[in-house]
Amino acid sequence: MDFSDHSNASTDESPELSFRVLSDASTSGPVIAFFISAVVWLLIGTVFGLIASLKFNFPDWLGSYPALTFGRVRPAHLNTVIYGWASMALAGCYIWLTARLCHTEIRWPRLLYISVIIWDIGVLYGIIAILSGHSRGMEWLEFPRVAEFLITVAAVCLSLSILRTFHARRVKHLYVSLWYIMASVVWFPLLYIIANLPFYSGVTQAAVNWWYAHNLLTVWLTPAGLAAAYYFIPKVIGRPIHSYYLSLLGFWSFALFYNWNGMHHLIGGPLPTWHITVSIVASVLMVIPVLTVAINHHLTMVGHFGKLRYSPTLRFVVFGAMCYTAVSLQGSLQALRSFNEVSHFTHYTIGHAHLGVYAFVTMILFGAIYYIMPRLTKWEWPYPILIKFHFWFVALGILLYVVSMSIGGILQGLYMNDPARPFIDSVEVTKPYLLARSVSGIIILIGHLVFIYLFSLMVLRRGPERKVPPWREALEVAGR
Amino acid sequence: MMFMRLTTFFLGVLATLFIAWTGLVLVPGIQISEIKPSPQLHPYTEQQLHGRAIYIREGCIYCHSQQTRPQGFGADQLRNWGRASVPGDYVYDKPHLLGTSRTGPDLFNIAARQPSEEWHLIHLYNPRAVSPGSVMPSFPWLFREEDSGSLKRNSASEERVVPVPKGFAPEGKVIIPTQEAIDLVAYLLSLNHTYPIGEKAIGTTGVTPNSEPKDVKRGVDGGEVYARICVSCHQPNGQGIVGAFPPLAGSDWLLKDPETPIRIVLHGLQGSIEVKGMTYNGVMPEWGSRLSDEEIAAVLTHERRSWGNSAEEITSDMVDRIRKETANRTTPWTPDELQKLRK
Repeated sequence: MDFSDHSNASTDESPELSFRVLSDASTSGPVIAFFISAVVWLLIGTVFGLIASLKFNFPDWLGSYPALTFGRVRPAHLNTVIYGWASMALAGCYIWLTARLCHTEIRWPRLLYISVIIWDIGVLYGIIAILSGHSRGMEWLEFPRVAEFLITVAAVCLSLSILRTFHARRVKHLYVSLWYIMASVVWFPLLYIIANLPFYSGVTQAAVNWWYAHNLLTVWLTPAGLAAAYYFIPKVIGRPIHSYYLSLLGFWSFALFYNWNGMHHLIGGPLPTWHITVSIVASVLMVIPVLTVAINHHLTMVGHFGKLRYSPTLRFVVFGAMCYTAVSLQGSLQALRSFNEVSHFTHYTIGHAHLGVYAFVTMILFGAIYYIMPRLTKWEWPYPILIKFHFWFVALGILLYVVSMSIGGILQGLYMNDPARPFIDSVEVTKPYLLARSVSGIIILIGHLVFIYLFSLMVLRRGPERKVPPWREALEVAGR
Repeated sequence: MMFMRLTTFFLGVLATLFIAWTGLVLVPGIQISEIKPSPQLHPYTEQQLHGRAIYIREGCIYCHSQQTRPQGFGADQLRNWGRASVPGDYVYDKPHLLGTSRTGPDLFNIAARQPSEEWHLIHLYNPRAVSPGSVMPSFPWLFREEDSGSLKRNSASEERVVPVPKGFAPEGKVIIPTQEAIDLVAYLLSLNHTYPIGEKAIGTTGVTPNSEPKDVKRGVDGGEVYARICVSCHQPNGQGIVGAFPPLAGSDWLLKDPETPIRIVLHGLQGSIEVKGMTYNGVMPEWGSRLSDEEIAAVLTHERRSWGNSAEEITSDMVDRIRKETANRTTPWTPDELQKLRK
């Protein structure tokens, strides 16, 4: 089991240089295109999220615009950040990582440009449809058929290019990140197509809905986060991942159990008891892949935590990887009936979702973008201080978000389950926490504006020119 | 050297997805497809379907569930939200609207709980007009504003004026519901799944009840029942909403004799009544099938002794006697019937 050729933080003198130049040159166009789209959707999605949050604090604010009513802005927020930001950012990472890990240039790059364009049109069409009142009415599946079709086509184009590149690989060893990526690009289009088949109705449709919504994390967002964490943590600190066998156990237990989780969204609902129990069992079994990955990453990091101070990539990725452990264990707990009795139907679930999609996936995607962009634009990130601002704003922002939603949600659930209290009490009790959530939204938005400013400078190759990457500067200082 | 054969890898990847789909979608789907709907569940009318489309369009699902939890799991049963829902209740639902959030209350049986069309129209126009503290959005685009003067000329729309309380509608304007608002309310008023279901249709509640309801033998608090059920129309101060829901403070219907209010709560009231000089033409739902004698006695006593009211207590024996006398009644009272019984 030879990992050294993938995980060394090698310098320019490495024999790998030639394939890296080749690989980065081939991916630079499509990856930057995906990243630019993703960042634009991130900004739009953040604004939608903030508007939706403020609606709880000021219910009549913007109250006369049908397109901006809570029930339309909220799904617009979710769909923008999932199908626009996260999906397109992770697509960029998949492309770059695949070429790098296969030691070759990306194949069928034109397909990738087509994918970006169709993807953007699909998301734009879908968001406009939701805001103008044409949602299909199922959570995570609100986009109308046309938008869904466009996104399917775009995803298939992406998958074909990645699979073709994989087929043309020039390595014998397949690094663990590649397993997740290959599984993911096969799973996602299939899942999306199966979920959108037209012949479900009644509670079966609810089952498909939640099997899909949870599996989107299984097959698309989480593999991206893990593939990136498995790649960047060893890469940045310059030592191989701790254990190959743990990676193997982690991957297959992940694939086996995670696919069965969805019905825990319907606990207490009108579905066969065995049906829901199966998902609860699978949700608890998720402890196995999660702890496996956590131990593996932790043992890789041990002794290198000091590097978090110097590497923005490492800081974002390690933060995200820790939140993966936290959100997954929280998910297993939430699936237990006794806990779910309180947390279900409340804002607690919203906090959990943001711990997963933001604190885990989005933070890792930020880290990946910080690593990948300089290698594609041949330009170093200007203003390292702003990178720090970005990190601390979004990290503290999401922390405030999750804490306020968790406390508020539990109180809401306890009040709701107390028949002696009128229902409105369960609304009143959440109000201070919903206000704190809006404050966290503003903090996160500021963080995003800083990031977008930095990202724009990178794309345009503007800002003070830094001749050498930060790690080289550090080495030179140390050498003197 | 290789960690596994590639074919094995991709077959494994496909298998994990499809086996999960089989287990979580296909098999339960087949099991559920054998369930027949209750004969008392009716397909939606065209108007209700149009209302349902508006429910989807405005994203009501993001705050309201349509699934009731079983006894011993949450407080749905204790809140009188209706028996636990079963797959057979949803056979006409496409897309499903089960929902996963209860920022607002569950709506699976909202028509049984709140059957007043006026209440729903006011509530949609501005939720805070009837439900102080609510964070629900207003839906002004489902209504038209007209000058109160111009209305006289159009008597057809006069019947449809929404009795929005003072301060919640612009001065000098009256609020007219559009067809969309009317259809949406028609859909909400179709949400009544309180019909009984056969033993066979159950067994699918997702939860095994692990405890008896927690407060079976707890003393009944009339103020609590009022806050749970009556307050949305008659308001916390018992003043009702002028023109829409009659006041209880100082109302003859409540205070003059003990039997009339018992009858009204047991079987409901429909028709035009006069309360403190104002005419009200609404629907008071029946609560006899959902509240015990003790609860009715407690809440009526509470009402008869709050907000400046002072009338004698109503006991559960009195409720029991009238319940037995009127056991065969299936329709709401009319004001005339009640007036005659008073004599």
